[in-house]
Amino acid sequence: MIPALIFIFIIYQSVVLGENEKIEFNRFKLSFPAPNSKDLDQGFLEINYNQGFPDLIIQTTLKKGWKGDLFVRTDQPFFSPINYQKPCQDLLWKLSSEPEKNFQPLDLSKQLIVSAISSTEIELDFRMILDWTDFPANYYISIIFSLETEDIPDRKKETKLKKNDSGSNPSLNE
Amino acid sequence: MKFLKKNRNKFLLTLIFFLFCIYYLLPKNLFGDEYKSFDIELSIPQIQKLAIIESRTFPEIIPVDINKGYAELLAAVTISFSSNVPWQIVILSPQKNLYKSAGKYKPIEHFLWSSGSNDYQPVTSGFGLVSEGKKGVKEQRITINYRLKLNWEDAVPGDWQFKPEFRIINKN
Repeated sequence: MIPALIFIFIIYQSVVLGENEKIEFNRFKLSFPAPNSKDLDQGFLEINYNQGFPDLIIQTTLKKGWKGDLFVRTDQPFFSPINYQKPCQDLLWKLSSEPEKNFQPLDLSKQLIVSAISSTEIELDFRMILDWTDFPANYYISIIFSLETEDIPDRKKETKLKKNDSGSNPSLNE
Repeated sequence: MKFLKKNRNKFLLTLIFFLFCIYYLLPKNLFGDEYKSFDIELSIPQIQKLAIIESRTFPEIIPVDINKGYAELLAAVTISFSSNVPWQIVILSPQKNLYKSAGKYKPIEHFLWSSGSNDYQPVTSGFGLVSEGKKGVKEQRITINYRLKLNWEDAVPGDWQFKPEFRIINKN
């Protein structure tokens, strides 16, 4: 009796609800290349490991029927070592698909990267603001990605309604 | 313990039911949200650069200059420099004499320099401090004036060339 119930529960978990939400990265950390005088003159540095490829790929996994918002923030106002007071806002990020003007500074408050209602792959690019006043040092900062999920109520009903209204396939992405 | 052994199945069922309720009834954020941190590194080396952006040559020396005892060239050189560490700009001579001809020579100390309204100082083979700063700078400019001491004995005719050297060094 008990094993059967546990089995049913596991099946329900994995098939009906799907996997739990997850955030996975395609690399463990990002290292900017060492800047030179040209980089300091132009005022920024980019990673560009491979031309045309994103700096970071984030794979988010969502449960079926749940929607998720991916946020980014940091809890360090300054890069470490903090005695050089390089502000966290010197690190900029954007979706790889967006134009350069969309680079936005990292912040202590969370910023929405993307909203999705299915598991998805998010590609990000980074840029570091540099200046001749940046003292030589090995700087690092931890950024925090959070996936905030929410159940979508009556998703099937909504989908059916949209089908009836438009006669076309409803989009899954917001 | 006896009660637990007797009602083992009931207890397990209740436990599963209880866990099931916690999972689905408590606020979603308690279980639903996922957080992951990611490290980003940047290593900045010491970077300094210096360039001569403007340079002028002395006009031809005339008797008036020799009688006066010197020829002067204002704004002879303008240098531009950047540094991300405390810095010093120094001037030095790569040679000991301005020229040597037919047994006559003019020592390098007869070549003087000044920046801004500061007094003239002789160029030497050692570092002569032009300017210094404690903070990083971007494309700062300094203009240098030259003065050449003259007298009738060592003002040997000829085209003489002398290029003082400027360097940027880490003040520490």
